[in-house]
Amino acid sequence: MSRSLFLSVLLHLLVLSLLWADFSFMRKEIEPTTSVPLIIDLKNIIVAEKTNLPPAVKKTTPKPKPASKPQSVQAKSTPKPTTPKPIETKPLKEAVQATEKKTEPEKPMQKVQKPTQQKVSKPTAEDNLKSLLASVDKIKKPLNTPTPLPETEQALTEGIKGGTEGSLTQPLSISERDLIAAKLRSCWNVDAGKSGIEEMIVEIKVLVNKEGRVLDVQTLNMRNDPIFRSVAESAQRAVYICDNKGSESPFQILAEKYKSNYNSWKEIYVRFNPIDGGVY
Amino acid sequence: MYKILLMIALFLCPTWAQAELRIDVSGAQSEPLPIAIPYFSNQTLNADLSTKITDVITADLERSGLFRLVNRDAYIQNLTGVDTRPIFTDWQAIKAAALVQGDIRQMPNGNITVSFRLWDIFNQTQMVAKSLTTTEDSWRRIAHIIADNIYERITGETGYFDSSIVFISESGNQKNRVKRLTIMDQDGENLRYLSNGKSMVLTPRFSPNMKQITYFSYQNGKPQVYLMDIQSGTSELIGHFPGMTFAPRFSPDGKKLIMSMARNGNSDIYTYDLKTKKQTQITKHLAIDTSPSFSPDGKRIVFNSDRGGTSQLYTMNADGSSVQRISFGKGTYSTPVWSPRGDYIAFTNIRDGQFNIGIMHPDGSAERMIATGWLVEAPTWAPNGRVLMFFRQTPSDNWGDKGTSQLYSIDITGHNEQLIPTPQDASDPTWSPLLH
Repeated sequence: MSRSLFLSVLLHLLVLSLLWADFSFMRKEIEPTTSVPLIIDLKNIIVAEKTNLPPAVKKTTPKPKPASKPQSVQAKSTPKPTTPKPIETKPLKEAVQATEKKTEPEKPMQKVQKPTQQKVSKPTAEDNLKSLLASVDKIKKPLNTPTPLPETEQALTEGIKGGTEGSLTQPLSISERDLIAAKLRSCWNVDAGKSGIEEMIVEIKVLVNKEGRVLDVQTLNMRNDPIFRSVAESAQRAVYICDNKGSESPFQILAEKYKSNYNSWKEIYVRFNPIDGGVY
Repeated sequence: MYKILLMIALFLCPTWAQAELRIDVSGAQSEPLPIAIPYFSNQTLNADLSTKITDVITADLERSGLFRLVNRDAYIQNLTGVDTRPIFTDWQAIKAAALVQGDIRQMPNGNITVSFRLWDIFNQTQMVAKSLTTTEDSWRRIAHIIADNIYERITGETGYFDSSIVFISESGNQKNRVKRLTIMDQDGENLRYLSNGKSMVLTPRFSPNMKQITYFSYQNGKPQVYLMDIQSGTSELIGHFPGMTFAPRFSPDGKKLIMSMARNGNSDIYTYDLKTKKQTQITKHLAIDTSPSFSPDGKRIVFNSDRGGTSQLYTMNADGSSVQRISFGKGTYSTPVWSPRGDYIAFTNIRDGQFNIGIMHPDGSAERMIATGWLVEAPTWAPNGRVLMFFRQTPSDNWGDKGTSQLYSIDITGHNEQLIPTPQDASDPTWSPLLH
């Protein structure tokens, strides 16, 4: 009897202490939002191509430290400031290399048993929240102390736990793509009364130089049909007309905003659909 | 080993795919294309020829509603002939999307040769280049043909500028109207009267080869269908029908006429073979069937009938089988005409006391009205099936005065309604096929 009472009291104390610890922990995290409002610069937040966050990158450094902290996102956010090389593909490749190396000495199952890997394989709501807060911290830090653009971009493209879509290498958000599309649409002039125009979707490949000037325009799906050729030529013309708009050119906007990511927009594939949004 | 290679490939492929940027552009502007047409250089004895030819080309293109002339005062480069290469940046600077350059030369035999080049300014490519030779007095046709070439190359659709209109010229008081068969170019020029106005003429229609016109007339005191040879001006009565024949049209191959014949209060559709002179009854119905028009392939016929209670549009096979009603909208439908490109049927609709010119697909879908008025009637298609012409009448006063009747053209999008100038009132237009 006395033993069971002792165990019950011990268990209650344990639960209460855990609750106390959790609540205090939560209070500390929430406090800043009530005192000083968190300012998030929307320019630095990228909504990826499917309006979702990209999945977390497992490893950003080729040789992870054995005593890494459990919060893997924080642990791996140690980019070398002296390497402002194109960051869009590097994390992925390194991650690939890291996993390749690991597969050789050990079985994949053993890797999962590591503390850091367990968190990745079984993400909980709490993990995702922490990961989100961690990524917000990363955004907040550059705001407080201005840092070079490559670091900011790396922080943004590292992804987040729980993210399933999006791209680490794709620099454009949906709104930015919409902006580019809207500008191209404003340059595109098509006769709405053409016979069969609803089926004439033109696919164009645009080659752009680093300054955002158009080097070449090709129609990828040209048909032996004079009406389609007319629509395709009008789409090509739209690209050149937009190219001639100086700082308003969608290509120069890309060049200005994503100078270091030239490889990601030097080839632009544009699908011109005259009907979807209506010809007006 | 293969597994490792495969894994590497699988990891690398997404990286490559993500390196390209894809943009979807949905929707577009639909505005007239800015085109620069400097006056052609002129090396003939006729100093006005350049202005006249260039002005006709410009007027044709602008009237289509698909082109807008860039103001000639803004041109930077002075093109001195058809072989001067354009400085594209100069034309881009004034926002011209296309450029036409040309020259006119006199041949030793007195004929003229007009050469032109059409350039895509932004793609920096030559789109078409041609030389055309003719007698000097045919300069207007040359200009229309050049305009057709430009229109065709830029829009991808056949042109319609080198074509004619046959219509009824009307003069005098509304109660004592004089109606004459008249022919002119599609822009209202070169007008000629084909009948003297002594007898009433209505519904003239061109033959596909442009050599004949069939029409309805009261000449000889009996309302019947006649056939006129345009060159000689002679007319002949068509067939020996027991009743009144009216609403004639040619078949697409020009070998037959299709028309209505009214007898004993009923009206049915007949064909008349111009070679064998054989008449064939196509519809046999107690209702009034009239206004037949062949599809461009000659396999179907559209007509209007009141067999459903009100005048509606029906289609049937060329032999009269497989009749289908295609109009189900409000009001009554009449004067259907099948488009030369086959995708639409134009008609007159009367609803809520208003007349409308409308179009619908041959199955009756996508019906829309594109012109409206107190009286708008008799739609006819341009040879490319892109533009319609019709006549619009305004009401006269109690004494039959002050009312007008004029020809208008309109794009099938319902935009760009244009008055076709005629010296007198005009009605019942029919557009010819393309002449060249």
